[in-house]
Amino acid sequence: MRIERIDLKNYRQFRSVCIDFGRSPKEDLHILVADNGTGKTNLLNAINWCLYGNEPHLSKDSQQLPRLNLNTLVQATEGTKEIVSVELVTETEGNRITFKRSEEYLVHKDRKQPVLHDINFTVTYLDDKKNAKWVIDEEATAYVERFVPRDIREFFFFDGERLDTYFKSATGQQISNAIFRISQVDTLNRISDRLESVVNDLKREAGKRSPQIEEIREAIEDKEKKRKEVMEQIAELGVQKEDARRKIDELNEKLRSIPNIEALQAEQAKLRETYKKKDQVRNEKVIDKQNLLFELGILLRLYPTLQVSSQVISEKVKNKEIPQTYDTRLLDNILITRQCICTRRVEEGSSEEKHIKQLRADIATSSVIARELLQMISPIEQIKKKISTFKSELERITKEIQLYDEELNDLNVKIQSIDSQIGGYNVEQVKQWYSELKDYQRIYDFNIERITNLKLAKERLDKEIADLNQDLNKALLKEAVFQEVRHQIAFGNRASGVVNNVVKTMMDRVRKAIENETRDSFFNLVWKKETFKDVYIDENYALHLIHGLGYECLGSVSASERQLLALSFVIALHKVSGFDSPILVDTPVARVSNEQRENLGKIFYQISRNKQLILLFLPTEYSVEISRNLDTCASSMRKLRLTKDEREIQMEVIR
Amino acid sequence: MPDRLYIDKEDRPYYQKAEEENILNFKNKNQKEQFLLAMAIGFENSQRRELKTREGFFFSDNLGSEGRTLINALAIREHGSADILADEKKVFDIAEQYASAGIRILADSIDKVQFGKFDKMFEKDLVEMLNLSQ
Amino acid sequence: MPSMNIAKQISEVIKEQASNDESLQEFILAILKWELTTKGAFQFKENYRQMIKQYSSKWEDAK
Repeated sequence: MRIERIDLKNYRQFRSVCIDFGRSPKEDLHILVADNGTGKTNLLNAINWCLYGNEPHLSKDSQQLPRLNLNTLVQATEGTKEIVSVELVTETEGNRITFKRSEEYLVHKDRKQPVLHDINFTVTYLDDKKNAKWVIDEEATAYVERFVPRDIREFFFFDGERLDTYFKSATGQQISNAIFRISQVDTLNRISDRLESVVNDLKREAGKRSPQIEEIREAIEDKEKKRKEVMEQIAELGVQKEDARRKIDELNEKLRSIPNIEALQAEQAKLRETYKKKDQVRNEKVIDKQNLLFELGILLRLYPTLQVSSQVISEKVKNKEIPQTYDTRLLDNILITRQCICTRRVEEGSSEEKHIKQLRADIATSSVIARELLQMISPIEQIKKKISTFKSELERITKEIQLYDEELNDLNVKIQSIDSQIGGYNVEQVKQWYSELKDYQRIYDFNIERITNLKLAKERLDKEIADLNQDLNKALLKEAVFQEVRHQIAFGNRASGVVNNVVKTMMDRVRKAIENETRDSFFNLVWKKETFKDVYIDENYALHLIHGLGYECLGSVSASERQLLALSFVIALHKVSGFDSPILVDTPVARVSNEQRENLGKIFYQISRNKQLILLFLPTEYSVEISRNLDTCASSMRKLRLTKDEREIQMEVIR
Repeated sequence: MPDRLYIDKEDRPYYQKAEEENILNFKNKNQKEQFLLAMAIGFENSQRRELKTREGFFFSDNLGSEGRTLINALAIREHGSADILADEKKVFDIAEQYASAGIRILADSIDKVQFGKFDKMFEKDLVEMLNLSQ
Repeated sequence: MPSMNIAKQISEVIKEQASNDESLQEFILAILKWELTTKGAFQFKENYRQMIKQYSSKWEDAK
């Protein structure tokens, strides 16, 4: 099914605009370029309004304005009726179906807003005999539902900017709803609920005639109520669990290439402590070496003098000059007694006295000298010893310092390595992410546990309900009067069971079919095929995109890749649902980088070969990278601009 | 008998320089040790210098047996005999003059060497000296 | 690429799930048809009861 034409009259800025979407032989791609505020998004609104009666993409400004074109309103005379209409002409399998919605407004000059007078919605088609037929109300709505069902219209007419956030979360709930709708499971669920309701009525009626049966029935009803509550809790926790999982994936992706900073900082602190200690010891050794050099600097330089002194001392020892053996007391006694040892008298002032005094003085002097020399013997030996061990001491201490230097260098390298690992990261931010990751993991695990417990509770309740139903059956069997109702109840229950199984099977099949189609589409269109490994929709209907290296990456891929996945999913939905309707995207590449726009341009072209694609671009979006691929293959291209008074759109047909 | 050993007042800046550069942990050495190193360097370079303005540097009691031995040995070598040891003042004079010349030589070589490389150069010279003496 | 033809698949699955139980199959298909035609009309009970009565009379409780 495709849109052939849209005819807008007095619809907001579209005072009288007719847009033709004639296709080319190979492609069905249509481009409209318009600035923000021009009415580009209102085209999307026009289609929604025509088909569904509402405008989901109205800006705040537009919400204040009447739907009736302002110039029409201003130029109308008092009391006139003005009509707003949007007509969508579609074509499917050779048949033309026209959807037209119109509103009639009464203009009162004293009122800002015109008064809504009448609403009309008609669907016109040709019957088998090519006679024009039209339908209204519910029948008309039925045609709309066959064209693009209301529940899943956001997968057909969508806002490209919103799509980024939409699939960023890719909630299982939204996808589940789409699958639900497509697989017509809603009808089956309704059947199941209604069967349950009717069967309960039958039980109630039987219960009125037997207190025992009533008691059992009430017990069943009570258990079923509890079971329903448990299932609701499971569903809610499932959503919370999914949210937590998504957050965990997002954070893991953020942290994937970031090291565990806290651990590294702790390690670094330890290393620094060790470094400090070793550095201290090393410095002490350096000082020891300096002291050694200082001391030996003195001793080695003066060594020649010590050698001389050694010789002098040796001579004197050899000559028995040292140690001295003179007995000065003898000489002192001679001077006092004035009698020599030979008994001769020593007169005062005599030459003998002078001689003895000189001798005495000489002895005194040589005592000093001898004493000094004697005192030098031991230190000289010690100095010699020091000098002899100097070299080995120096080598030893130098080696020790070297070893410490090596160790310190190693430590430094490790410390700097950690610095470079940590550097460049906002440490506080990273720590916060780790903390959040722990929290979400806790929530996730907790919810899993709770869900498990609730599932066990549900199983118990299932069993209890089954047992009670058996009891009910037995009670009904007891009396012939209940035979028929028992039979009908059993039948109703069995039918309900079958329907529930059908629901599960259909949801699963449709999920799988959509998953396969999405995967095929995505890998067919994606420009970096090696980057990704898989696309799948899990049993909770969450969409997953798996990187080539095996991890979940939906939360962190580029906008263009997300866009591509969204498009693939939409195409899959179209294929599986059988709703072969056009895709219309407002601002399709606003969030996409220039480099990726080229890729998306190619993809739009490819999609348009099998499906009508209508794209509403901002001028800034329709950059060279896009126009390069689309200019030549677009089936139609138009520019929209506003008149000076900004109340009407003018359309320029480029192609 | 002199109770202390003297340096020239003009020597102080040279000692200070050596302390500032802290070559061989100079600033943590006492005056006696600093003096002896200066003296040894003066002797190595055969340079003596008369003191103009004498300033007490350290007490002779602090010399210790090794210090005393070194000063005596230097004096014996200079005088040619051990008789000089009888005149402590003369012994000290010799030591002081060598020290006065030596500290200037030390300060000069500190200037000539790239910052931080003095110790290494000193070590190298010492090892050479040792190898030659063996 | 051909579409899935959901309605057809549903019929098939109903038949699978209620195999060897023709009355049940017919009943569910009949209810489904009625639901699709009336599009969830509010007044369902009478019709459901009627159909249950009708189809269960042909049904043998497999016990």
